[in-house]
Amino acid sequence: MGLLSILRRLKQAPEQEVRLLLLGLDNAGKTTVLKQLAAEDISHITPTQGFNIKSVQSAGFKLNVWDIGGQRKIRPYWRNYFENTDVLIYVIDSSDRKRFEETSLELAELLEEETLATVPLLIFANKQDLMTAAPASELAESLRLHTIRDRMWQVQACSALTAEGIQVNIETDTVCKRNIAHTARVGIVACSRFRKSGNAGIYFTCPGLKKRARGTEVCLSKSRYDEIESFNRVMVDF
Amino acid sequence: MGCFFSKKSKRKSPEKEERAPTTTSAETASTGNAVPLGNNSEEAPKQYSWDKREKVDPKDYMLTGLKDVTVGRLPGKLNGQQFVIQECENCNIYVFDHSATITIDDCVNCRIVLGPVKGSVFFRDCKDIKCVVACQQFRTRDCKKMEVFLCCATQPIIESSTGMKFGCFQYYYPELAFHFKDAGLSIFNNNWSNIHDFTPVSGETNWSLMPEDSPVLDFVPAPDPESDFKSVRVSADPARSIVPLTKGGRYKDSEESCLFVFFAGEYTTANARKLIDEATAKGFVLIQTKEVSMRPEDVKRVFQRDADDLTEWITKGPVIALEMNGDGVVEACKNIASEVFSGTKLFVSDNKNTSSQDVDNFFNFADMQMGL
Repeated sequence: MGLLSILRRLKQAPEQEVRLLLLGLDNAGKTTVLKQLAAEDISHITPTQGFNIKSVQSAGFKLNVWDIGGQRKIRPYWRNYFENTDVLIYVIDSSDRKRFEETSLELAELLEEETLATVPLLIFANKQDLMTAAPASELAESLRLHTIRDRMWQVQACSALTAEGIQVNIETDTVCKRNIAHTARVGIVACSRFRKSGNAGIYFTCPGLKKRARGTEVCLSKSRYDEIESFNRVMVDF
Repeated sequence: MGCFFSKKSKRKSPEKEERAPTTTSAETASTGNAVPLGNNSEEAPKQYSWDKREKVDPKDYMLTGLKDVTVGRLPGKLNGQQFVIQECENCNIYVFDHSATITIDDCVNCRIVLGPVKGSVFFRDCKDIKCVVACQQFRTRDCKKMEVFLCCATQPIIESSTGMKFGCFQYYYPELAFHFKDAGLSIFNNNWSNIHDFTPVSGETNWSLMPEDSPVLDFVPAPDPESDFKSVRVSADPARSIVPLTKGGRYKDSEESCLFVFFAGEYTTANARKLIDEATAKGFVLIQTKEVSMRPEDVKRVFQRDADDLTEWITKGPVIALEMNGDGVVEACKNIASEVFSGTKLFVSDNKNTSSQDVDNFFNFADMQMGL
C-alpha cells in the first residue's frame, strides 16, 4: 500500500534509514499515527507542544518519524524540520470540514517550499472512522491534488485510531502495480525484459510482479525509449 | 512531458496520455498520480471498517444555527459517535452521552454539558461559554471568556484565547459512570488545572483557575424541567460527583502530604472513593489522583522499596494513587489504612518526613508514563 510502495521505490537496498515528516493541522491525528506506526498505546495522547520523534523498524526499513505540532502559532517552525525529508506525510482530519480550506492552504504552502521540492507526498485522509468524514477521493478533489505535477503523491484513507490504512505492510496485490513515473530524485524500476510489439513501443515487465501479474506491462513510446540510457533506469518527468 | 500508457488500458480518453497520468473514472477519483500498470479496474477496493458500516445522516450528529433553545442528546442517543456543534447562540446544550470527538464552532453565550469524549473536544471562535466537559484532549483556538468545569486526561491547551477560566469537573447523572467507561476515560486522570497556552502574552494571563467551591449549577444550569432532558437526574453536588474533586494546581494549605496507592483488585475504585470520603471528612484535602499501569521495574524506583508483594500486585492491573494534604495527614491516612482497609493491597506513606518524596516519586513517574 501507499507508504511501503513509495519506500520501496525510494531505496534499492532496504535497511537504509528513511526520514518521514508528519505534518498537518493541530488535531489531525499526527501523533496517533506516530504511535500506531510504533505499535504503541494510543489511549492517552497529549496535544503535541513541540515535536515527537520515533524510530521504527518496518518491513526492513528503519523509519525515523518526526511528528511536529500543528497549532497555528507553531507552524512557522515546521521549516526547521524540512531538510533531508524522504517522505512528507500530510495528515488531515477528514471529519473537520470547517478546516478543509485551512489545511488546503497549509499544504499548498508546503508544496512551494524549496527544501521540500520533489519530496514524495503521502496524504493520510485520517479519522475515516468518524461519521462526517469525507472520503479520500472527495478530499483529493477539494485539495486539487491533481494539479500537483512536481512530485509523486498519493492519498490514503485511514483511521489512526483503528490502525487501518497506516500499517506499513506488504499489500502484495498493489506493490508495483503503481506508477513508474518518478521524479528525477526518486524512482528506479529494474526491467528484466523487453519486447517489441506492433505498436512501436517497448514493453517492460515490472519484476516485482513476477508470476502473479503476468502480462501487466507498461509501454513507452519509441521516442521516449530512445532517451533512456539503459534498461536499468526508467525515469519519466512531468 | 512523460508519455506512457498501458497495453491493456481501458482508459476512456486517449488524449490524457499527454498530461500527468491520473485516472478520473466515475468511481475512483484520483487518489494518486499513479498510472496503474495493466487494467484500470484493479483489484476490488480494499474493504475498511468504515466501508462496511451503516450509512447514517450526518445531520443527526450536528447542531447548527440554533438560538434561544434547549437541545442536546439523551443517554444512548449518541452512543460514541462524533458530534458537531456550530453557530449556536444563547442555547443550553446537553450532550448526556459518550462520544468520539466534539467540535464546537462559532458559538456565543451558551451553556454546554459534554458527556465523556473519547478523543478531543475543540472549541473554536467561541465567546461567553460556560461548560462542563470530560474528554481525553481539550483544545481551544480564538475563544473568549469561557468558564470550563473540566475533566481532561491530558494537558489542556489553549491558543489565541483570553479570559479562560478552569475548575474541576463536578457532575453526576445516573449513566455518567458508564459513559466514562465507554469513552475509555478514568475518573482519576484529570489534568484540569495545568493549562498550556500556545500564545502567552507577557504581562497578562489568558487563563486562570476558578475559585474553589464555584457552584456549577450557577454557571451551567440543570435542564429546564419543561425540556426533553427533564428525565435526566442531574446533580452537581460535590459529594456525588463522578469525578473526585481535586485541588489541582491551587495553592496547598499545608506542607504535609501523603501518598496513598490502591493496587488493582475488585473494589479498587470504590476503595479509592471511600478513602477520599474518610479523609475529607477529617478535613484533609485531595490534591491529585492518577490511575496508571506500572511495571515491576518501576516499583523500587517509585516506592523506594523492594517489596516483592508490591512487585507482584502491580501486575494485576493499573494502580490508583491519591495525594492527600493537610497537617497530620500521614498519621491519619495510616490509621484509615489499618482501620478501614486492613487486608486491602495498598501503599501509604510511612512518615511525614519522607511523604513528600513519595508523592513526587509517584506523580513524576506517572507523568513520564503518560507522556510520550
